[in-house]
Amino acid sequence: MSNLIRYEFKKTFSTKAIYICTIIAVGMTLINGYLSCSNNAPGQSYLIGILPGNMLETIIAVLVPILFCSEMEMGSMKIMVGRGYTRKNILISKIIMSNLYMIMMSVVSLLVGGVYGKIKGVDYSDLTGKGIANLVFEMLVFMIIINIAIVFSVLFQSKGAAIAATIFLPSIIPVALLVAEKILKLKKIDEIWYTSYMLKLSQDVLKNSDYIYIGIGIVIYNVILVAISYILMNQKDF
Amino acid sequence: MGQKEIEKANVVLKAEHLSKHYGMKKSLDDVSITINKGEIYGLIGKNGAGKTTFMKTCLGMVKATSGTIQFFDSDDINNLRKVGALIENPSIIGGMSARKNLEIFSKLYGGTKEEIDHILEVVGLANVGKRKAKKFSLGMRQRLGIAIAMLGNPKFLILDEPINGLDPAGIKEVRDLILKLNKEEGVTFLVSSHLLDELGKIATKYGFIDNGRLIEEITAEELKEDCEKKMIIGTKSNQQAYSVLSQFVEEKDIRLTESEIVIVNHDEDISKYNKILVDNGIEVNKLYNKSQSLEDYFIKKVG
Repeated sequence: MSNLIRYEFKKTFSTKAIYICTIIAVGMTLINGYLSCSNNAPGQSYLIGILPGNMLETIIAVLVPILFCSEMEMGSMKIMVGRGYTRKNILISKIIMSNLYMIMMSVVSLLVGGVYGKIKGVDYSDLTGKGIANLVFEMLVFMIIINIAIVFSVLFQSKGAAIAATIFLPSIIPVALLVAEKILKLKKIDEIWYTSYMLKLSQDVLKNSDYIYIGIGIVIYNVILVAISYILMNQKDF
Repeated sequence: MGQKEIEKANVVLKAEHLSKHYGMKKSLDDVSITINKGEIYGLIGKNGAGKTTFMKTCLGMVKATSGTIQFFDSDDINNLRKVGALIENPSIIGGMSARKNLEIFSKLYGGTKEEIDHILEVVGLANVGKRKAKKFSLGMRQRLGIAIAMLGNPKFLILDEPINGLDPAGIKEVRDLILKLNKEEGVTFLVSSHLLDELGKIATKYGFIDNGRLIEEITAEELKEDCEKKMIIGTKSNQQAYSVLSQFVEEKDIRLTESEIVIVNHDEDISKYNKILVDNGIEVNKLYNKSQSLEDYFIKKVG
């Protein structure tokens, strides 16, 4: 497994797409920073608004299929299997590397945004432990997007199809849930979909019960998605 | 399995009753192949016969429907670390140079800087500098694919159509590389190819595969014997004819079978032997020259 991680690390950071995406994320962070500072947002609100506003969701939806599917198309994944690496370990290494990159981009965005805010006079004295926890939860929601991207990458084995599915499906599902809510006369079923988590997290710190609800939801989503990826990958003939 | 056990193993690949079904279609049907240490095994078959499926199934890229596979006398999956493979197209990173490709893949398959230098030298890519792999010719890509397969000092290399699409110079380079690795480094090979004459220059054993079934296995010596130019003679008294002809042909070049006399390694006009037999009062029933190429042999087997 350590060989796989080292390979993933070296290969990922040799890819131009990584650096282009990081520049886009930083750029968007600065633009959002400019807009937020213009509106005199309080320090904590400013910080928790950085990650949802830097297009990281879209970047992940594009980047993960590129990194995953290009290896399938290139044939290097089948050679890894042929050399004795199990499908499970290959999948785990990709999940780990994708998440490491997401954490790295998130930290860079927060640092860039934070420094910019500081320069522009944002006061971070209102930052609390809950505010920091909020940031961590935002990153955990990104983990769901990573796992969705991996499921579609394994399923479709095509960059285009996986990117399209990862971007569009999460947008369609809430609409379907709202329709179901109306037809079935139920309340708030759209809130079970993970996109509602980021909406709540980006607005303000939440009640403890909200964090518990979101935390359980994140765990359930990630477990289900990783299980689906594992099953698909295990059945795969290269 | 340790390095020493791997090197001691006499049987490098043992595939028994291997089958792969896609629905009703049998891509592989009860194929059993054993490859011994030091052999260059040539797998021959038409397009879609099952050669690539066999290789992929052995390597676990495709899950077998039934059957067993052993590498180096063991079921241990870790033994695959000592097997290198080039399957279908070379799996190379187009945006990187040859050296960079090897450096990255060495994280997975092993290989020090010195070993990478040696491999690049052996495959003839030591002087390509920083040129990106996507700008390589087909022959260079094939050689880079073989170089990646050589990382980690594998004792067994599985090459699927390694000379496909190459020009004659490229074919010779790959052929010479296979022979060099086999003779100097003791690497065992499983090679598939359509270019039968080329395979005929390197293989020590052949397996003919058609519609997913192994039709025949034959050693290079047996095949050579079957393919070489020979004179077939049939008479009413073969024993007598044999005795007469033995005076004109070396003992190693003439043999008597149940129904005929076979003479090999001859450059003589068949009328000479006809005259000898007639002059000795022996009535000749049949007298003709026969030879076939590997291609002829292949077409006879698989159609």
